[in-house]
Amino acid sequence: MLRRSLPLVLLNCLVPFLQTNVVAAEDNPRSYFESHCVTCHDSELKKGGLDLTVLKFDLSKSANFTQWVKIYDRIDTGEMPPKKKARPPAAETKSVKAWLHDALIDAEKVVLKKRGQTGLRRLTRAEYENTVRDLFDMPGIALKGELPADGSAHGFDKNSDALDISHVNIAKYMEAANRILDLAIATRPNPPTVQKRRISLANRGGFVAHVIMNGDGVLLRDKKPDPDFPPAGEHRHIDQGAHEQIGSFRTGSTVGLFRHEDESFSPYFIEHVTIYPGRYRVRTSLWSFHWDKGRVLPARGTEAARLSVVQLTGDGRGGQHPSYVLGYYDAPSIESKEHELITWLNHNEIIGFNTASLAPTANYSRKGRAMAFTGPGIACDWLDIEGPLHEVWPPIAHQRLFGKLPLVEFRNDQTPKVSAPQRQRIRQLGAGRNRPDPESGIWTVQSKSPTNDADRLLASFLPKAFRRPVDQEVRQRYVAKFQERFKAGDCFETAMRWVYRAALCSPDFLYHVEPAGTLDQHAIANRLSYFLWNSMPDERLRQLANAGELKSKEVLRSEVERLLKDERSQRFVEDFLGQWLKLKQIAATDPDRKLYPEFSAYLQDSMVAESRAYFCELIDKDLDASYLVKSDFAMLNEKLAVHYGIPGVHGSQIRRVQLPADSQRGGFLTQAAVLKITANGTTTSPVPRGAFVMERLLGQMPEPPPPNIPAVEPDVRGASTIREQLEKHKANASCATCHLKIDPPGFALESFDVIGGFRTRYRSIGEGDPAPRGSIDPFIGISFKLGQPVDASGVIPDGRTFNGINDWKSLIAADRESLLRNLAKQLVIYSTGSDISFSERDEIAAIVKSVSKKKGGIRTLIHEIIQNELFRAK
Amino acid sequence: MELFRNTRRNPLSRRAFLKGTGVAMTLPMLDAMHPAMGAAAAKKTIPRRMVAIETNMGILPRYFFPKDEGKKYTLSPYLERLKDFRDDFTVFSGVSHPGVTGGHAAERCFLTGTPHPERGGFRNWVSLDQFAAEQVGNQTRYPSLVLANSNENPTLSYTRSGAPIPAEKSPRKLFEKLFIQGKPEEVQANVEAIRQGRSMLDFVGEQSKRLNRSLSTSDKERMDRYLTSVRDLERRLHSAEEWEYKPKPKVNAKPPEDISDAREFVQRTKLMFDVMKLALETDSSRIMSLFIDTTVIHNITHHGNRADVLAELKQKEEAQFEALAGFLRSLQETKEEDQTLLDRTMILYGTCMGSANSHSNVNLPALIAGGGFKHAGHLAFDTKNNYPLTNLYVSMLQRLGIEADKFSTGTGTMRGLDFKA
Amino acid sequence: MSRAWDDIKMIEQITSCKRYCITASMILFAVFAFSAESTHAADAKKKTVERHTHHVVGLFCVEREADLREAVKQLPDLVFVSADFNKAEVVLSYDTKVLFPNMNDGQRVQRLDNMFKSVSSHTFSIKPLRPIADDKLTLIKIPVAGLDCKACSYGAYRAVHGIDGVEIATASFKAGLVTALIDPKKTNRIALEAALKQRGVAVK
Repeated sequence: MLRRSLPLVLLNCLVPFLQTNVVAAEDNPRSYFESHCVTCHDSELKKGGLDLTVLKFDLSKSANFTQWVKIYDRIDTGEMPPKKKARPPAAETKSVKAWLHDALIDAEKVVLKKRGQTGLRRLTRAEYENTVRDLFDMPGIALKGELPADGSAHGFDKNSDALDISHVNIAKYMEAANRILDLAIATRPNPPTVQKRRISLANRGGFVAHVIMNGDGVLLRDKKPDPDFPPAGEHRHIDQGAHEQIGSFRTGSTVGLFRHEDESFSPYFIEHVTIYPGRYRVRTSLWSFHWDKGRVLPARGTEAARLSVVQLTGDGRGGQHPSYVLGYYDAPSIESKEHELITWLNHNEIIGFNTASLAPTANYSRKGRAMAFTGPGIACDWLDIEGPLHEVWPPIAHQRLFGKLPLVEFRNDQTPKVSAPQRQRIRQLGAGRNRPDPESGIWTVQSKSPTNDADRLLASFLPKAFRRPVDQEVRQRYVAKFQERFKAGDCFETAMRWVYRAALCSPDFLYHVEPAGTLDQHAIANRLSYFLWNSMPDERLRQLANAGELKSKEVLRSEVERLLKDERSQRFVEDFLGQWLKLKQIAATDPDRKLYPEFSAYLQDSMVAESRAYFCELIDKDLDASYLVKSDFAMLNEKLAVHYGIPGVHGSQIRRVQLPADSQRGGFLTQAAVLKITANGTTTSPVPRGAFVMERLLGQMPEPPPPNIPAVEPDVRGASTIREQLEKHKANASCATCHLKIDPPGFALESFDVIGGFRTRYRSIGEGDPAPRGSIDPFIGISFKLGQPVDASGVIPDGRTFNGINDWKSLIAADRESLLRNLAKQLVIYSTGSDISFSERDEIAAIVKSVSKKKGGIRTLIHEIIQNELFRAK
Repeated sequence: MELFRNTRRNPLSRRAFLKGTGVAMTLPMLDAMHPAMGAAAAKKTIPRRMVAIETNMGILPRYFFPKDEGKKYTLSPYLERLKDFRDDFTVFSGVSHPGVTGGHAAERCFLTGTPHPERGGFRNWVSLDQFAAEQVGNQTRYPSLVLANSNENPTLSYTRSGAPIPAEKSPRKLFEKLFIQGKPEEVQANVEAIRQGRSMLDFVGEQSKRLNRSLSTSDKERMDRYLTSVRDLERRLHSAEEWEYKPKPKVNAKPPEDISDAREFVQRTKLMFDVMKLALETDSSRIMSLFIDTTVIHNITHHGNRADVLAELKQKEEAQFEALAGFLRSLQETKEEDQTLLDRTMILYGTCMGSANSHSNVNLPALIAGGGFKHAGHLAFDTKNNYPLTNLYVSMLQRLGIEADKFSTGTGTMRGLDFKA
Repeated sequence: MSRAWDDIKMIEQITSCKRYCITASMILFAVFAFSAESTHAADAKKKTVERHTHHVVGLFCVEREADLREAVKQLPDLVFVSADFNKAEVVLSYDTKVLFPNMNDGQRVQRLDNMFKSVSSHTFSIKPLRPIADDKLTLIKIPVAGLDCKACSYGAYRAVHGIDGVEIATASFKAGLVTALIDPKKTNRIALEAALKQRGVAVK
């Protein structure tokens, strides 16, 4: 046996490992490597790029350390020494492993002593935006898009390596701070007038009016065609201006649309263009119908309409795409259904509409137009919009900055030496019929005791913004700066604004400040809230930290429960899944229209909603790690259910659905979102999909492809399959080793196309047989053919075979521990902003063990991580 | 892994680095520099300029690369569009950025040459244009112009710390920034705003020093990056303040009307080219990067060898080369002293993928036009074992008068491409 | 020529007789009430209320007479007396001194025009009476096809009426006819048909 700790000094790190002197000859790890490894890993063969004859043992060097960890892992998994060769005795392997393990840990301790595990990091863009939203109670302020993109390290953006900073970031933070303060500071004595308006979808001057004049929609009254606006048929309605003047679209008639949004058609409710950012109440009344050449008949079922928020661009026209989707709303057959929501709207944002569940149609230039058309339509009776809704005035955001100081009119004649606060001119774009309130002079906060007020306000603001107590000495610097500006002639507001801007650009605000050593209470509060809310701690967490109560395991447990129950935990679900399963990349490819005509934005949004809802369900019900790959239920709406071939699901809302026994669905990997993200829009390849499964689900980083190997050129002409092409590729020995591991999950997933549909034959543009329609909407034209059959069988690395996706899932789901360990690692990297170090592998193992012992699931895992030392050590 | 952070190899020579951080950076070079140059200043230095353009969805290799090499090569269908300039550009084959892989991810590395953008922990290096701007940028109002033709937020330009620099996407806004003079009170207000900005930066810089005292050694280094960024911005604001007092150049052209439809990317590129030409002509900036986002044709780049899709793609790409020809022509028709603007402006045009269909990052289609090179027709390198395109960047830096013998993975100048006397 | 105009009116009345009658009687009542009130108001001052005839643009089909009455109702101190669809003229009664003090005839018509435009989304406007005698003008009748939609008819009317040389025009897709009284020196049938086609009207 080797002694537990081999004196490292004896290993001369300047010469190759195999030339070092190690004490006892028979206990020599060197001889182990010499007899079992060096035959292949020498300067001649260099298998896997490893040449042990020159590799040094100098663990203080990062690259060398990484190399030895890799060697350790290969021995640990039993992959090396190879099975084909004579194996060393197990005890010998065990002792070499133990020796290497300890050496690695010792080397790591030296480095960790010098610095913490988690590097100092700034807020990510998402964290920044959420923090500002919560700090100022401005839940929809849009800041993320204006900041430079964050990088990614170890799969997540929350690592200091991913979070660079440069003069560009600082300049953008200054701009953002100005925008925040412009919005937060109240500039009028009373709230803006609440305006309420009922809007027709056929807005004046709008796209919708134009297309319904040409038969892509109709006006309806009492669920019948509007007698004053006959449906376009052989003739279309001529002259939009004439109709607007006569008032054809102002009769209160319902708009029935057949046309889906497309490149040249974006429906909006353009008559409300937001002037004052804030919360607005939006109500709409929707129903659906079957149109038969002039007659309104009951619909085929419940259709879905999308409401979205669209930011108008400089020229007053909307972008092609909505800024964000508000939701999908049911439009039941013939019966009008009202929907209501409250949403934040920013300056110059409008509400967009889409007939989400309809197939693309165009009667526009078709003979006979609406009078020759038979098909589904979605009707919008009206949209009510009311706001801005302010519960208090001045708003919370203003009170965060100025407390209850009174707003008074600024009079230059009374204080000639004081410069007035700057005010932005309100400019409304587009054709909004809502109007700004008349301006009534310049109003600003007044202080009778400026320095005292400044000190008091900063004492309240700074600890909130910096997410930890702020020394009086620090606050004093801010107050001094305020005094300097105030003396220089700034009014109270402007001078305070100067220091608030500085606070928002200061490292205290922009960074997660974690002093060296064990994390203090505030750092723990921050880790908790940035983990589960992706934002700053709330008042309660702050108080608990102040009282030192986050030391208590019980308090931590109940806080985790509280945070998970809060709506803000959705931000965690979105941000974490966005990176772990790459859901953020859902729109990176548009599926080929000829091959996948049934694809739509509604399907894509439903895909993402499914994966999020599924993860929430795993947390809510504390389901175990096998559910990551296998489940007997799915989270579906009608759109997905039809896509997956599951009957009996109606409407746009996602709900839990029991899967038929023979279903291929269940688990993350067979969710359409994951299947789409791992394809390129035209073709699938087992390689990226296999790599995704290894890296994301099984926690094994695949090796990058060796240089100068040409990639497989995708071909959709139908002559050969990707598997046939890969076989050739694998004939190359240097490729084969890795592909044996990477390809099998990809083979199993070959049963799913680029939009996550199940297939037994590939779709083809060239050769093939006519394709049956299947579940594709009858109003969608099909031009693709059915090509080669899919082969979804394979062999996993340990030699077991599978035939099809369910076989493979069962094999993988059985290894619950690997799945759990990987998810634990992903969550730890995400929540601590640090990769798992070699020594932390033991902590991860302990977490996994504890979760398994409790027979717990994902919720238990989250608790165990937070309870673990790992989460609370820097 | 995070534990031992790779101390990234500095892609620049120490000599070049020092030059970039010295006094020359903090003050506009202009008049301040001339006395120091003494007699040398009397000898006119030719202003040299650089425009680097990437189109991000590949260029169909079969229509781009010429079949035969050397000066007398036969023009390919795409290069046919540039035939009027065949003596003014050099087209390359068998070139790529060593180690730059990752398919689409490589679009971030076109001007940086940083290997493996697809890997965890990836951090970009400084881009060619920003490196050049650090050296020669202060001779003009804008050290560099970072431009994009896109509805998203892509950029070709990265700072020294690898942070992306947001691009100006509107030709109209660019025009206004370059040529529309503010009123005196606006200038005064700008100056005051800049001063308050500088004062605030000073203040937050102090805050970082305070925080530093409570941090671990390695975190101190990270906090120092914040302070460096703050000081960097402060210097830039200082320079901006100086320029604020100088009037902007006047041009006869009218501000262009922006086109918002992403599908019109060729028309949009033309608009951008027009303003870029004005910027070069008025010496508003000598360094420009332009990211042409052709994501709208992403679908058809995965052509899967379908004939109709290939034809559609060819048509779009030909139009792009037509637009490039227009840009080259406008520079050739503009004279500066006894030379054309094209002679003094090197234009790099290329893409990050050799085949968008398979996401390959080798055998990149690329060419360089103008700029005082002895153009060599078709420089063909080994398509199996590519020649580093980053060597071209070393040549370009040297042509700008920057003493650099290395840049990124480039370790020497481009073989076969010499300077004109 | 006048027979042609009668033809049109006949068609209009036959097709919409019932509806026309109802609206007409309702409007009569309204006019009565309105004029009584305005007479009363005028009594206080000097009685200078007079009837005035104006050329009206936008009276493109018979149903538009009702719209015209509605428009006048929104204008204080103006009373609708009658409209002559054939001549495109309206008779109004008002007090010049109250409504248009110190204005010459041109200014008065201009002011009236603005008032009518503002209450009709610019679909009615008031012009001075036509200076050219009817016998110098030619009536053109163009059979057309389109949707039975008032706004579409207005669109066709706008296309024709905007041509220099067109004095009066009518348009009705219900009747399938566009007519125009033109000055043959200035325009002709070909120009009218071209204008209609350009607007998207199917000319038979």
